[in-house]
Amino acid sequence: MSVMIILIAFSILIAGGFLIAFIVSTKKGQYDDVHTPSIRMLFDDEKPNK
Amino acid sequence: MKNTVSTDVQATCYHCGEKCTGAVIHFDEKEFCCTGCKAVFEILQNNNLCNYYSITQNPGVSQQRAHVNTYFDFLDEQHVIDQLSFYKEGSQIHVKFSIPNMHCSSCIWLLENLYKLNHGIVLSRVNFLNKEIHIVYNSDQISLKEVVLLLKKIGYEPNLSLDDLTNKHDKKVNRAQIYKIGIAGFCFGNIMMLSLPDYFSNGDFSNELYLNNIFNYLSLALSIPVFFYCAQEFFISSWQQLKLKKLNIDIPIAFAIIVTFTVSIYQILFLHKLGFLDSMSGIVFFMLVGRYFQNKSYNFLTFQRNFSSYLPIAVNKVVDGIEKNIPLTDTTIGDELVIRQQEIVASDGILLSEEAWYDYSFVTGESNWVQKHQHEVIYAGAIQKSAIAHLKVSKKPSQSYITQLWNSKKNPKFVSNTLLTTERINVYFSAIVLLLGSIAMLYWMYQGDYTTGLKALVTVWIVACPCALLLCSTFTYGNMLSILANNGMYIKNAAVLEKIKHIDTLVFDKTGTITTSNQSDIDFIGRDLSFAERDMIYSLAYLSIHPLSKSIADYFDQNDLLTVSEFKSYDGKGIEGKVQNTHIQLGSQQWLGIQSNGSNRYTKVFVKIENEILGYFEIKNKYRNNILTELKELSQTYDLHLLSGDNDAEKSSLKDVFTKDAQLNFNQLPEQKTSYIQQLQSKGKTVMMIGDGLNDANAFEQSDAGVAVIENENNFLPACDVILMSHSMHILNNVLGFITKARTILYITFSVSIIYNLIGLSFAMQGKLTPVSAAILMPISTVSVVGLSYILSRHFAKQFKLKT
Repeated sequence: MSVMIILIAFSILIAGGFLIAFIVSTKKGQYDDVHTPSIRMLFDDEKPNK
Repeated sequence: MKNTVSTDVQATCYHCGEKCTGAVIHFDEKEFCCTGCKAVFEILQNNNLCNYYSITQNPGVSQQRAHVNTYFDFLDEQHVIDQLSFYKEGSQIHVKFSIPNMHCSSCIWLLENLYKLNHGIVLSRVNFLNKEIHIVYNSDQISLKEVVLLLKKIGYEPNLSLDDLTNKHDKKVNRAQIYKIGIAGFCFGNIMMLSLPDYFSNGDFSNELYLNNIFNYLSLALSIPVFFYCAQEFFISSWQQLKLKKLNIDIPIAFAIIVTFTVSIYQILFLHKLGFLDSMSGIVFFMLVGRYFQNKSYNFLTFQRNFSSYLPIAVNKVVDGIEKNIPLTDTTIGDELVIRQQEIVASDGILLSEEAWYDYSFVTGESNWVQKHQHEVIYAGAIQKSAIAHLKVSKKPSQSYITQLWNSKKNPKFVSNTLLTTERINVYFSAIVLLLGSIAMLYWMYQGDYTTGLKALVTVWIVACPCALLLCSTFTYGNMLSILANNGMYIKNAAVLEKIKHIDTLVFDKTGTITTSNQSDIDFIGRDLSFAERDMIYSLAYLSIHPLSKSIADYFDQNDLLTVSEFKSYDGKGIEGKVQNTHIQLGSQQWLGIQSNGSNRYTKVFVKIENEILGYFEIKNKYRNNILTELKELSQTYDLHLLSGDNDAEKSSLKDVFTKDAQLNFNQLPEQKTSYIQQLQSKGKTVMMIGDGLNDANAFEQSDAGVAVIENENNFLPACDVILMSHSMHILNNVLGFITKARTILYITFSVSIIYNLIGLSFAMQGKLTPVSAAILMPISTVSVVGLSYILSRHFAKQFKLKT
C-alpha cells in the first residue's frame, strides 16, 4: 500500500502544476476578456494582394 | 468609377445596412446612404481592407448621425497626452479608448488591422465586451491626434470625456475572485480525492494508520489556504457586521466554516479520524462560484457615472481672434468660447452672440428648444441647436449649475447593503439549525454519549449549512440578471432585483423616456400643398442650418432641389428666398405678421408663399415604438404616474393611459419630482422612477428603484439602480412580470433544498451521519438546486417571451 504515497505525491504535484498554470494565466490577463478571442480566431488569414 | 446621385427608394447602404432615406450615392456599383459611409468604404478599399464587408453584412455604423465635434487639436498638448496614455516605452505610447460604435466581428477585425492604415500604429487590441481598444503607437510616426482622427475617419470615433482627463487611469483589474475560486476548487478536489478511501472503506481504512494519517494531514494542509485565503471575505464581512451589531448572511457561513475547521483539526490530530474538511472546502468553493456568478458585472456600463463624463473634453477658445482648441480643464472665467451646432455647452456662460437656440432637455426635461439673447446666461449641459455662438465663461466648470444639481443629492442610498429577504430567511434558518444541533447534543450528552453528541452537533451544522439555501437565491438572481441583460435591462445588483418585486407604482418622465429625445414628429397643418410648392419649401429649408429648417427639409426628403435666389436668413425670425421668381418665407408667427390664435403648445413654423399663408408645421415629440399600448398594459397591474419637466402640450394624447388627472404632472422641477415621489411613498407605495436625464437624478435617489433609459451604452446617465435600453421600453411589462416570478422560483428551489436538509438532519441528529454521506449529500443538493434554478428561470423567461 505504501506505493500509494508516491502516487498521491505525483497526483498532487500534477494538479498543483495546473493550478500554478491557471494562476499565471489569470495574472497575464487571459481571463480579463473571454469573448473577443473567440471571435478573433475565426478571422481568415490575409489573402494575397491582387 | 462614377459617383452619381439618384433617388432609389429601396436601396440599403452597403456600409451600414440602413435604408437609404435620402439621396442614394452610387459608387463602385454599390449604394451608400451618405457621403460619410462612402468615404469609409473608399478608405478601406484603398487599403485592401474590404474583408471588413465579408465578415458580417453591412457592418458599418451610419455616418449620417456622426458627431459634429471634430476638434481634436487639444490632443496635441503634452499634458493631455500624458493623461490619456497609461504606459510609455521610449517612443511607443499605449492608450486605451472606449469605442461606443463597436458592435460586430467586422469591427474587431478592422480595429485590430489598424496598422495597415497607418504604419505608426504598432498594435491594436480590442476588448469587445468592454467596447475598448488598446492601441500602441509610435509617437515618432503618428501623433495621438492623428490616431483619434484615423479612428474617426473609419467610423469609430472614440468616446473622450472630461472624466478621462480628470481621473487617473488606475483601473486595476481585480482578479482576486478568480484566484480564490481556482485555489478553492483545487483544494476541494484534492481533499475529496484523499477522502475517497475513507468513504468506501466504511472506516476500516483506519487499520492502516500511518497511511490514514498521511492522508489526513495532507487534507489538513490543503484546507489551510481555503480557510485562510479563500474564505477570508466571509470572515471579514461578518466581523464588520458584528461590530455594527447587525446580522448578515456571511455570519452563519463563517460560523459553519470555523466550526467545521476546528472540529476537523481536533479529529485529525487527536482521534486520527478524517474530519469534515471536504465539506468545508466544498462550501467555500460553491459559495465563491455562486457569488462570482451573481456579481458578474457589466463592464461596459457604469451605474455611478460622474456628470463630468457628459461634458465635452475640449472647448474652442478664442485667443486674439483665433480659435484655439483646449482641454476644458484649462478654461478660466472670462474666456470666450465658440460653440457650434450640436455641441454641449461645457460651462456656465454669458451669450455674446445676438441669439442662439438651446436644447435643455437633459438638464430640465423641457423638450422645446429655448431661445437665448445676448447677455443672457447659458447653463452648462445645454445642447447648442443654432449654428454658432460665442459665449463668455462666467463660472468654472466645477461650479456650474449642472454641478450643483449633481451635488445636491443627499445620502447615497446606492451604497447601502440591506439584507435580502432570502438572506433573512437564511439567518432564521441558521438559528433554528443551531438550536436543533444543540438539542441533539444535549440529548446525547444526557444519555452519557459525549462523542455522539459532539458529532451530532457538527454534522447538523454541516449538513444543514445555509449554503444550499443561499445558493438557491444566489444562482436564481444570477440567472435572472443575465436573462434580463440579454433583454436590454441591466440591474445593478440582486438587492435591486428584490426591491423591484415589490414595486406597485411606476413614475415616468416624459421627454427622452416615453418620447425619443433625438427625433421629432412633424406635421403640416393647412391647405394641401401642390408638388411645386413642396419642392419650393424643401429647397428653401434645405439651405438653412437652423434645426427647425432641417426638420422641415427631412419631412420633404424625396423632393427635388430647386435653385433659390436672394436667400436671406433672419436669426430667430425665419428665412426667405425666391424660387423660380416666387417669393417664399418660412418663419415665426410674429415675423410673418399672423394673428396669434391662442394655442401655443407646439413649436410652429409658418409658410408664406407670395402673399398667401399656406399653413404651419407643427413639431411634436415622437413617442417611442408601441409605448402607449405598453403603458396601457402596465396600467392594469401598476399605478402609473407621469412627471414631466415639459409643458402640458401632450396632455390629451397621454390621457388615455394616465386616466386620473392627478397622475399627470407637467412643468415639474427636479425638486418637485422628488417630493412627489416622497408623497407617494408616504402613502405606502413602492415607487419605481423611470427617467433619463439629469433632472431625474434626485427622483431616482428618492424612489425605491431608479431606472435610467438610454439609447446606447455610452450615453451619459445619472446614478441609478437599473439601466434600461430604450429599445426594450416596449417589453417593460414582461420584464417586470418576469422579475415578480423570482419568488416562485425561489420557493420551489427552497423546498427542494429543504427536503435534502431534512433528510440529512434526521440522520445527523441521530449521530449516524458518516462523512461519506455528508460528502455525497452536499454536492448533490447543490447541483440539483443550481440546475433547478437554471431551468426554472429559463422557463419563466420563455413564458414572458424574453430572450434567454
